[in-house]
Order: sequence, then C-alpha cells, then structure tokens
Amino acid sequence: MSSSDRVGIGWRPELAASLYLRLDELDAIEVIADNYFRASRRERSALRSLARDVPMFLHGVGMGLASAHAIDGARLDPRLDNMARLVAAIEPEAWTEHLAFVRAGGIEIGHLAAPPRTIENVAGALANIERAVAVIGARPQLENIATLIDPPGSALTEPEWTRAILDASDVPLLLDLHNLYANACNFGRDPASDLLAMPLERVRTVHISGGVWVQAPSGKRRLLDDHLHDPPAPLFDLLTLLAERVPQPLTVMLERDGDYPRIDALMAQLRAAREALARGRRARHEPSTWRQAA
Amino acid sequence: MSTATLEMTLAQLYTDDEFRERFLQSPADAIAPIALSDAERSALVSIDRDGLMLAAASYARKRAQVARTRTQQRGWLAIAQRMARWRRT
Repeated sequence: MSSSDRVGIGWRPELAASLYLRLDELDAIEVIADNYFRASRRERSALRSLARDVPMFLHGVGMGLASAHAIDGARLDPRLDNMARLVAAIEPEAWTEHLAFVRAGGIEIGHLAAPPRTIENVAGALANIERAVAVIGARPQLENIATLIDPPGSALTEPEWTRAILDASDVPLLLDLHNLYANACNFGRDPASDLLAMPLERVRTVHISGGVWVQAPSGKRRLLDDHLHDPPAPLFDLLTLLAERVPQPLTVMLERDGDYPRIDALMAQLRAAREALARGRRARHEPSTWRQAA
Repeated sequence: MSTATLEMTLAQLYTDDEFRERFLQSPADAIAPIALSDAERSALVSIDRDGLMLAAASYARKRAQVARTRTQQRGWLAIAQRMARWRRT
C-alpha cells in the first residue's frame, strides 16, 4: 500500500457510535450530503467537528448532473444552494456526485438512473457540472453508477461516455468498483476489461460495496448494487488491479447502507481493502513477481 | 436527436406503472405521441424488458426507503458532540 493510500467508510447513523470509538483506524469518512441539507446550526457544528477529526467527503445523491435537462432551469436549484451551504459550513476534503440522471421533465425517479449515453447527454452534463461548480465553488468528484438496464438509445460505451464528460469538465473520477462489477456481470462483460477501459488516470476515490442477485420475470438474473451485502471477493481483485495500474494515491471507501454486520466484520473489510491495495502497489513495483503468483 | 425527451420517457417508464404496462403490451403505440427520432423510437421498442422491470421495481423500493431514512439521520449528532468533547479532553 502506498503511504498515501487511505481507507475509510461511509458514515451512517447506525454505525456512528462504533465508528467514533475507532476513528484512529479510519483515514477518511464519507457523509451523505443530502441527509444534512436541512440540518440545524448545531447539527452542522457536530458535522464540522467530525470533519476536523477525520478527512470527510460530502457525497451528493440527488443532483442528477448527467442529464440533457438543465439542472436548475430558470431558477437556482435548491440542491445546488444546499450543497454550497453545506460545503461552506463543513469544509470537506471534497464533494462528490454521480454520473446519473434522477429526474426528467418534472418526473422524479427517486434514485440514480443511467441516461442514454449520447453526445447530447454529454453536452447537458458538462453544462450542469459547470453550473454546479459556479454555485458551490469547487469541482466535484463524479461517480460511475450501477444499472439494471442498459440505457436504450446509447451511442457511446460507458467508458467512452465517462471519459468524454470527465476530460471536458476536468473533474476526478470516483470509481465505484461494485457498480462497475455489477454492470459487467449484468451485460456479459469482463469486469477487469471494463476497469482498464475507464479513465483510470482520473481516479482519486474508490467505492467498494456489495449487492444481491435478483431474478427478472424471464428467469434471468441481474446483480443489484444494494449496499446491504459484503463486497464480493472479485472486488478486492479489481482493487488490486487498480492499485497496480495507477500511480496516484487512492482513497477507498466502504459503503454499507443496512443489514449491518458486527462492527468487527466491517473493520475486517477495511483491512481487506488495505491488503488489496498493498498487493497492487507491490505488483506495481515488482510486476513479474505478482503475475507469476496470480 | 432528442435525448432530453428520451430521458423523460425513461423516467415515465420507471415510475408510471400504468404507462409501463401499456408500453410492455404495445411499445410502438405507447410512445407514438412522443416526439422522438426514429432511432430513439426503435431503441425503445427493442428495450431490455428484464432490465426495465427490474429497474422500475428497484426505483420504487428506493423511493420508499429514502422517505424512511431521512428521518433517522440526526440521532448520532448528539453522540458526536459528546464524543468530540471527550476526545479533546
């Protein structure tokens, strides 16, 4: 593991007391920003205090930046204003969002959806990102999402589309390895090949999480990224491959949103992430040794 | 091309049970009134049906879940303030 690689976890209310007792074992934490948009001054003070103890990322889930629809049309979108206020109050290390659309034409989907990957969508995403940067005053890191449906009408592959947006907007990639793994499984691709096709030079932060296989009415199965299960073993292999291929420091965050195991089990998953990073860094410096072992 | 309209149609397919049912029974008829290009119309008619039904079900669960969790977020903040004071003493 590079001396500047870091490992942390998504901060959740159910885990807060246990995590507070283990802050020394966490290099960073991630907080769901949207859950604190209406927080009181006292609540923001607590969050800011926590951010002083451990580097914090504010993770947005509701902007829907990757859309051909303008994020805020004629008037300031409250989500941008809310994120700007929270970033100013908390002073996180970075704010992050998703390469997704969550609404269109007044219809709220309620979660992250993969848009049709078209040039028109790229143009809309770029305009939305610039609008967000202008209001919030800092560039985000943007995350690839999982999808159960290959968006119809797409002209670009996911790596092509991702690179087009990130290169033109000059923002880092928050690479969610389980999202990448789920999409590869769901659409019959090789996860390692998908990983290597992504703009890896832009990765700064990495998400790891788990999911569950769900069955469609036809009987076929898809992998749902639900954050309710442990990261599968292949995810740690992808993390090792990533750490082997890129020189920049990585911050790895474990995401868990429910069905929580004992805190010791979560901390063991963080240690597994550290070990996967370390294997990749060693392989980076001794590539032939690692390939023989693999 | 009209990606914005295609996004809106997808959003409706994900969230509107009646529209989705009509679409699954007769895709071309269901989207006939919508201003889409021929390529977009064709892409929708040959949509990944398994993916559409699974995605719609997943989004419905998420909408219900978000409504529940937003109200649970704040409890830890009092703990955090006490712990922060404790750590600094």
